Amino acid sequence: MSFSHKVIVTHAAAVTGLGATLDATWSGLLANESAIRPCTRFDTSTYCSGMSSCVDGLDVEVLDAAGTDSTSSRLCALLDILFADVPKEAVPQDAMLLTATTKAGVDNLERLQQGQACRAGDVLSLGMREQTCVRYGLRGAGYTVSAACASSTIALARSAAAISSGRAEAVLVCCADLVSEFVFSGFSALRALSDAPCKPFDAERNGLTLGEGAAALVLMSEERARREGRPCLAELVGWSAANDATHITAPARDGCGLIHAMEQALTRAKLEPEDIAGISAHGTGTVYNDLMELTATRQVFASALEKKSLPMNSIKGAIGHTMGAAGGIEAALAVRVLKERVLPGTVGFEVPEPSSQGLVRNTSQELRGACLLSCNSGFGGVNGVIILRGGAL
Amino acid sequence: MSVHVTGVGAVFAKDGSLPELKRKDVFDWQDQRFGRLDHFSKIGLAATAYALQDAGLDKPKDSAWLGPDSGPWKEKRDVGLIASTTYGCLHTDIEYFTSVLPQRGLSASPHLFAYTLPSTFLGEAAIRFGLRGPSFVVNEHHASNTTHGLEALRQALEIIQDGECASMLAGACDPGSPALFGAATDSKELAHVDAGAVILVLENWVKGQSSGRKSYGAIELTPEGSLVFRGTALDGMGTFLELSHA
Repeated sequence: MSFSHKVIVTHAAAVTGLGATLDATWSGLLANESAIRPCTRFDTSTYCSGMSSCVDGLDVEVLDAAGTDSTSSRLCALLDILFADVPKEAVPQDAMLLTATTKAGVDNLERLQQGQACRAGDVLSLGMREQTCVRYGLRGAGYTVSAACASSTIALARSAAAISSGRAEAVLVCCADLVSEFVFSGFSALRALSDAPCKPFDAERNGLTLGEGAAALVLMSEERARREGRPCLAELVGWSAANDATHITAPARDGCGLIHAMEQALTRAKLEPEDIAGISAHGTGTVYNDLMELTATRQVFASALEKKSLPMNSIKGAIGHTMGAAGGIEAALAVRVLKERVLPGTVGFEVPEPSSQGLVRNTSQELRGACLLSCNSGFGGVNGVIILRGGAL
Repeated sequence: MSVHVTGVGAVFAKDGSLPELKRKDVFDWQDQRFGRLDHFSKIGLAATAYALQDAGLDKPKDSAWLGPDSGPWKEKRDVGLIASTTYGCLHTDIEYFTSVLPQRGLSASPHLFAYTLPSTFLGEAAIRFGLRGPSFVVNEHHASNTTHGLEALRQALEIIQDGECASMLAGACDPGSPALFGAATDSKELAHVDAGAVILVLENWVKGQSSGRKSYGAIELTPEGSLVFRGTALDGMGTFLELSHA
């Protein structure tokens, strides 16, 4: 199979704790703001952290006051906020729909287990797909990707493969995850939550902070984008997914899966490591994930680092770890990074983990090149990598 | 390029119930973790193991390897695993959240939490069989018993056709709808799928043929996106199983 079609991003949107639009999140990141606050969504007194990054307007009281269907998951309201930044004309009705999430409307599962009447379809991500299809008049082709915290990155990779090979002309990738007691309790039980706002790549980091958010990206073949006069915001030039095959909850210490995925993505993109101008890392703030990413980066980009700097960042210090939505949000922001040639600083980064020196900063860094690599990793040893190119397309 | 099915593994429900699998039902090696897996992971992992055993691909060439308890594969393989599911790990989710509710999280099970992702069993398979290729779950929401698993097969064939991997594992794994969903406001709209798992080994046949491996037959993805097995349109894993044993 030949990959003869260029894959263009024609629209990108995101909702995070920093704001209801991509612009708001971008501005907040450049200003080094953090959306991590004490969590008021549920009682956190028995958990090892009380912090999270929540999206405004998703509390039950607010939704009830707005007359929202009480049987729907909060995910529906989150998607409504997202869709306000994705005009209908941006999404062709023949677009395939790939959705990505780890727990979808898990708040409804919590409610069902506590005897409250609500929709089960929202728990399955069925609700997410139906809501998106109805909103944009989509014909329903596609599926939901579930690959832990690499879900949306792998959804983007599969979308790019479909377009590049000619199997599809347009794909809407929509990803979302909520802050829920279900997930909060689990990471607390694993002792993986930071008791304070997380500090990605910091020497004193001690865990992650949960966040919620959503993103939507429209990918299209270049031929169709130009034929329809669509904005060409960035090109998706490389992608890959690989498994550590080492441990279920911890990343491989030697970064083997992420290294393999990075190398394969570079090969797909026909790029050398020196061609990468910056890295949007997963950077959860856990001891082992961040160390693994630095190990992988320093191995794959060893020769490049001898010749030039390679800015690297994580946005999770600002918006928390948004689970299945993380890769999609980071890809949407990558469009802005490539347009403005600025990689926002890593909020929470103060005392460098030794191997992060020269890579990560808490201030914005200039991007001296056209290509950005974005990566995510998750439970089950999954790793997903995409490479985007900006500039004249 | 020709892609053939070289291994089939399945776990079926009997009298409406899935078997309670034990390690020795699946592996001939020691595996301390198997007994602690959740039910969804056990049936998915078992079907994967049976498929690889059927294809003769379940162990490394290193005869000193005694199973995952003795360490990981020294040389991992560019083989991935994709599974379709409708209800995924929901039964595990319910069991996990039941451990959370009584004391607001003080008794939450960290072990169970790790299995509240439908993709975790793919990681268990990757560890045991040295699979470093792409692995993910696809959720199919309007799947019936006949169409279940087709999207995973489609994705796996695309990955092989695109040259990303020479072999892939693909199929379906489903525990069926949890009883809890009977109380949901939309319970009548939810898909009915039987519990069970079927996993196939798909190989670029040029490679398989040269090593004298057996084949159940060729499987193909048409330009229109349809799946064809040995010349017959494939509308689901049930059809595949009938054709493969014909």
